[in-house]
Amino acid sequence: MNIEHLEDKMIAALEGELSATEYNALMDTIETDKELGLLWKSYESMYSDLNKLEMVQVCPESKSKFTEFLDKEIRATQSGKSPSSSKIISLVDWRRLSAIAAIFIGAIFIWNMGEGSLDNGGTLGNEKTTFAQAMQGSSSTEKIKVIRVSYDDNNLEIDNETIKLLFDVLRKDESSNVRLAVVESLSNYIDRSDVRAALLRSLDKEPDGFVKLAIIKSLSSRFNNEIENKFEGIVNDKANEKFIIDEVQKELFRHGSVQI
Amino acid sequence: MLNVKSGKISEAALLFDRYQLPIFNYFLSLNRNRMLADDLTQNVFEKMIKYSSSYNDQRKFKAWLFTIARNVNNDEYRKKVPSERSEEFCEIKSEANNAHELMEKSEKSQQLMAAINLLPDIEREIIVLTKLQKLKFSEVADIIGMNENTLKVKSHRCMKKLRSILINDIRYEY
Repeated sequence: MNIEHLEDKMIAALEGELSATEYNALMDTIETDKELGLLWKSYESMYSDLNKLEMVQVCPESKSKFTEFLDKEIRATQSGKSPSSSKIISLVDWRRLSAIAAIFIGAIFIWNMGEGSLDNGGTLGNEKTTFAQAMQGSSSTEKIKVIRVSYDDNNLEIDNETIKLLFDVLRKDESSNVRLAVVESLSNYIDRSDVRAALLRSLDKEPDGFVKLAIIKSLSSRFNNEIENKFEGIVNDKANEKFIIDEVQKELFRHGSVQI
Repeated sequence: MLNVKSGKISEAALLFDRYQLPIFNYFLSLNRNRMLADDLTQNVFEKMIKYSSSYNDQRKFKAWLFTIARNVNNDEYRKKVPSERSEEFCEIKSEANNAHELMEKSEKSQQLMAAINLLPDIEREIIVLTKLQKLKFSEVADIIGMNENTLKVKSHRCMKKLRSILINDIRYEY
């Protein structure tokens, strides 16, 4: 048994994870070696001191602050106003309204696109030209609309040219909101290995933290060794923003592959 | 908590009394800033009321509350740049009777806290939750979103690292 293994055993003993037989066997081994005895003593002492750590008392005003908040909540409930606990319900209503509005705007936009396509002969090639043109001259809002309608959840087929166009926008567009919309759109095709590979590459070049987060989230949904290596690289690169490292570490944890 | 969920909001005061101390100390251990720890504690209990409808009674309340605390802490962390993060060290209270014992105990506690503070965030969190908060591995696994066995392995590594910091960097005497 090497020293590292014995160290693990010592920790397991102090965590109460060993059986009586295992514990006694460990004690017998420790007794035979002075160095092991010192190692055991250091762990034993550390655990004992950890157990003695006491909690720091909170300041008394904390309770009155919370009571004040609670009173407001109770008054709001009694007077029929929305307390914070029911804000979630109104949020759901807002979400519903936003969804209806988004569908409405999308429908108008698709109808306009259709009109334009018909004017140009209504071919797929023309639609791509419209998409490429929209990416060049339009405002960020218009671009986002075009990117969002470019995804059709009834038809998950997408051709390489459109993917290439989307990655071009991700690389070149100055607006982080536009790039975020591109990542969201590309996430629908994350099962494609070329999309995953290109997203992995774009992680190094993406300057905006929130776009990076969206890419990380998207890649995490199809976690594999390559993504794991990339994520570990991000965690180890201290030049990365803390919240990015946190998020990546969380994902590595979620997939049980964090190295401590 | 089930009473709060069913609309008896006033019962939240009892939960605040019972869990304010562990939640405050959790934030204090992670952020080393009393004022921030106090604000974040308030935030947790406000969120507890706000999201009471989502509480699932199959889950242990303490683990659920610490999950909220963890999210609150992560949100706070994202808002700040590293230079804004306070380095105020944790002050440890002791109930030892004898003055010498008090001094020795306090010194050792401070050494331990200093060593814990030298650990990376996630490792510090594991030690804070398992050793300071004395939560079970199953509860911490639930809070962090990790498999219990994986957590045990990580926790063993954290203890090795903590010992190494104590011996090599803090010159801890045992």
